[in-house]
Amino acid sequence: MTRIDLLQGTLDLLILRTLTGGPRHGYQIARAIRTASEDVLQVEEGALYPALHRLEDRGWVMASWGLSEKKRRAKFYELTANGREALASQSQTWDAYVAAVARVMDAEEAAS
Amino acid sequence: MRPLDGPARIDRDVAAEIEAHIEHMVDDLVDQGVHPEEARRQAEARFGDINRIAAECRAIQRKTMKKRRMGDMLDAVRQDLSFAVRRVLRNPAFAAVVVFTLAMGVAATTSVSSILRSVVLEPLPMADPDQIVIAENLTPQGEHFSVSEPMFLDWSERARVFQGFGALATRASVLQGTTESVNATKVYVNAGFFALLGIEPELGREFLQDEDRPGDRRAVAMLAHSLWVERYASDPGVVGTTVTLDQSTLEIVGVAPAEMDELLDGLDVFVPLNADPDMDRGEHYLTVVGRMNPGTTMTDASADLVAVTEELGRTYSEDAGWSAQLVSAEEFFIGSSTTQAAWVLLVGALMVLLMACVNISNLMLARATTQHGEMGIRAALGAHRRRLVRQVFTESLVLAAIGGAIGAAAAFVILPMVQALGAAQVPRLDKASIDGGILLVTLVSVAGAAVLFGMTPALRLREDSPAALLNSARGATRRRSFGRTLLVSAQVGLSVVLLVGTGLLMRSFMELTAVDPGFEPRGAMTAQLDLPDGTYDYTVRGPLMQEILDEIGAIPGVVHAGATPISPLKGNSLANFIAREDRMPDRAEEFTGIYWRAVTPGFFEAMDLDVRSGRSLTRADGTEGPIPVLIGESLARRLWADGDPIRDPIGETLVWGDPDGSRVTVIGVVEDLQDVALDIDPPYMLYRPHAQVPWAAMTVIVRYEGDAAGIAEQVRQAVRRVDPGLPVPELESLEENVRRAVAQPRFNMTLLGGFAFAGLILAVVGLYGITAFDVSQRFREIGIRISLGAEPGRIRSMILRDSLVVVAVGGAIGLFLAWASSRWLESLLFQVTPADPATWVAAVTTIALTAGAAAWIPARRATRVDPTTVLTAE
Repeated sequence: MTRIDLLQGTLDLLILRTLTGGPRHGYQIARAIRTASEDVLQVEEGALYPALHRLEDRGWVMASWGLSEKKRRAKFYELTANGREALASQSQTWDAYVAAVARVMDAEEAAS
Repeated sequence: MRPLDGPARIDRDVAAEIEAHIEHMVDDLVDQGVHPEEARRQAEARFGDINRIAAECRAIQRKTMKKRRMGDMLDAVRQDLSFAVRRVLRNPAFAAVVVFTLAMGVAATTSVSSILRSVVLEPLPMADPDQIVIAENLTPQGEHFSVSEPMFLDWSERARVFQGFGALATRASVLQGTTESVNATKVYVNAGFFALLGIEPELGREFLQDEDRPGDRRAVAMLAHSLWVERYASDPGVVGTTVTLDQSTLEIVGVAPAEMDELLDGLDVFVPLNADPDMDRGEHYLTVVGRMNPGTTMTDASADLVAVTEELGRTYSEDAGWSAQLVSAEEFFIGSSTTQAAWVLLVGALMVLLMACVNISNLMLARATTQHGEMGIRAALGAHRRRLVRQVFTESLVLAAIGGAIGAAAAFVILPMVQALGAAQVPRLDKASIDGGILLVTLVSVAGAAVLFGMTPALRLREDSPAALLNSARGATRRRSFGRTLLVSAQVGLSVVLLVGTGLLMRSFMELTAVDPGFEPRGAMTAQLDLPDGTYDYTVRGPLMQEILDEIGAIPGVVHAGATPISPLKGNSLANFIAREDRMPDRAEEFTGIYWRAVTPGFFEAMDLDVRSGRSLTRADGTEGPIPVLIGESLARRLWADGDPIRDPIGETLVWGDPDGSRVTVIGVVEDLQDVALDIDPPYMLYRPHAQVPWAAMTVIVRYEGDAAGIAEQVRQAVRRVDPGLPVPELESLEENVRRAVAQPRFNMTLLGGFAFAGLILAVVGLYGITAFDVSQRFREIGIRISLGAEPGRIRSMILRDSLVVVAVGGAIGLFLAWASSRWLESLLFQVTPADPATWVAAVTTIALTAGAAAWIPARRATRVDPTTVLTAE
């Protein structure tokens, strides 16, 4: 099983996507990304928290303290209206990017 | 526990968030069967560098927080502003009164501060003006006197605490042009005069030592800046060309700086002084400027100069008994009464501004009272007290900004009007302008005003609880607020101060204009007619002047024509000393100081001065034989104090100047003449025939009947007929001379009067406002009283009584303040003491009557309250 480090900027997109399911705390977000990618994508804590705080600064997510499922006090993040819009536009960009990369890869295979 | 705020909260949150993450990891590992201690170790290892991540998060958080705070603040300001604007718009009448009131105060303050700055505060245009003094002689009798050429040179040589001296003297002269000649003022100055003042010539250079030697007149000249601009169109190539002055051709070596015109008005051409140590020490005619050593006080410098002068008095008999005195540059060039007046006017303007603030404060307080309900509800709903206070202040600021802007704009209109009013007599008034610096003063005063009038209502908000605010709004009757009563009293008080000040200046002005100058200003014209040395020799001046006067006298409509060296009340004079021959004093000090004039026949008649005894001058006088003179009545009374001052002097002999001086014979006694200044005692006057002392610069007085303009034109033609080389004179009404002499007192009075009027309006508005408001607040009470059978008269006096208290308290404060400050005006007053009873009675009557009227209207309204309407209203 290979593990892939996340590309710059992709982490934001993944965090926003993860939060569409409702408020989550940092550990949950990291776990959700790992589980959803079937353990392929590893989120570094060193990158996760600064990314969350940057999203908060930008006004895409909102933070509030709450109790986790393990009854621990944790900071929960949820999408704001601005965050939803950002996610929508970034998803489109991402899809276009992936499609373009895929087309290039297919073309090369055909040529060889 | 108090919630943490700021950086401390960020530190704690970030740490807690990271700790939560690690604990969740530990929980998962423990669930997978790892030992708790081992799980903790693994989790921390997997998390990475906790400190670095935490630091990064904290930095982002801090940035976010800063951004939020700024945003919140902007939001709050925007909300307060829109709230204030809504409140202002909701009550446009209130806003209009506030804005107008404030604009009045701001306009007054702005224009007066710009005047004060240019007239008083702006340093004189020379280097280190504090070192510059005017050095004068004091006669043995103790009177101010000009300086002789030898005295000036001796001072320059012997005075120890002076860096140097400069001297100047002016002479009327004629500037010959290509087509026509004009009158010009020639100024003799010593070499280095401009350097002494520390001002540079505009072009070329000033006179060299070599050009300023006794008995060695060089044909060089400097043009005054104004002459250069007007006559030479600021031609930069003028240096090196020539100018013809009094028939002699002079090389222009330089152009004087504009600063010189600012210091002394009306100079045209500068020529070297060539001061001569051997000249007659009794010929005093120089104005001397000295520059003291750095750090030397005027007292020390004065002592030095007095010592030098007294030493000279021991050497030269002409200087025996003479002394010296210094006058500061400000006093000489600006005048202490001008300075004083400018400060008085600023205080007046500030008082208007203060009254405006008081008025607005009062209005806002009154409104706050009616709106306590609204504020109470807002407070009860959880609005912070601080927020409410801030809203009140924001509203004050919005109103102040509008009022300030209108006031500043109005100042741009008012200032030129004020300048036109006083241009003739107030030095540097024309230089006053409204620029950034002045507008800054305006801005500060507006901000100060906003704080002042926002404070009182805000303070009340602070004190009252929501419950009190709500209750007071529901209350049927309310006591008149002590604060507002005090404010209106203060206003009445300030108004009294302004009224008393204006009254004193007005009375003083009336006294001044009531002074009988001896001559009759109506029905006469003046014309400057100079027969300068270079062109008209000493011997031809007398006959030529007589010929011109004859020609003028022949014009139909001209009743009398005569000439004098002194244009009445232009501030010039000629002085000397005399004594009775039969009572000749031993010492020069005991000679009587006099003003003398070389006048032509017809002068007394043209001026309408009565000859009390003896006879007037005739053409024969002064051409040969003994010198006949006429003396003024006051001089006659002094010299013949023990006899009949009207008859006894006729035929008596007087000694001129000093015991060895020439002898003159009194042929007549004339009514007193005041042609030097109005605010002095009638001077001792002596008149000699012009034919015998043919003075060059003369003023012709023409008494006429009929069309002034037509006669003026004929006078000009008459002068041209006699000598086409003479400058054609401009004619002016003699009344103009009087008008100029009282221009500054008139200026002071008009301006302070304007402020007093504005102040009175403000006080009336204030008093009317508070009374009317009271009546409206007491409608219920009044209604009940009326329904219980109270007489309208009783209701009215109940309301008036309250107002009377305000006026009485304010009046008392005002009278005290006016009494304390009126002596400050003393130096501006003429023949009126600050305690002038008429002024005080008038001021008190004015305030009592206007205040009475202001309270009467609402009081009358109170008697018309309809009980049924009022009692069923709520």
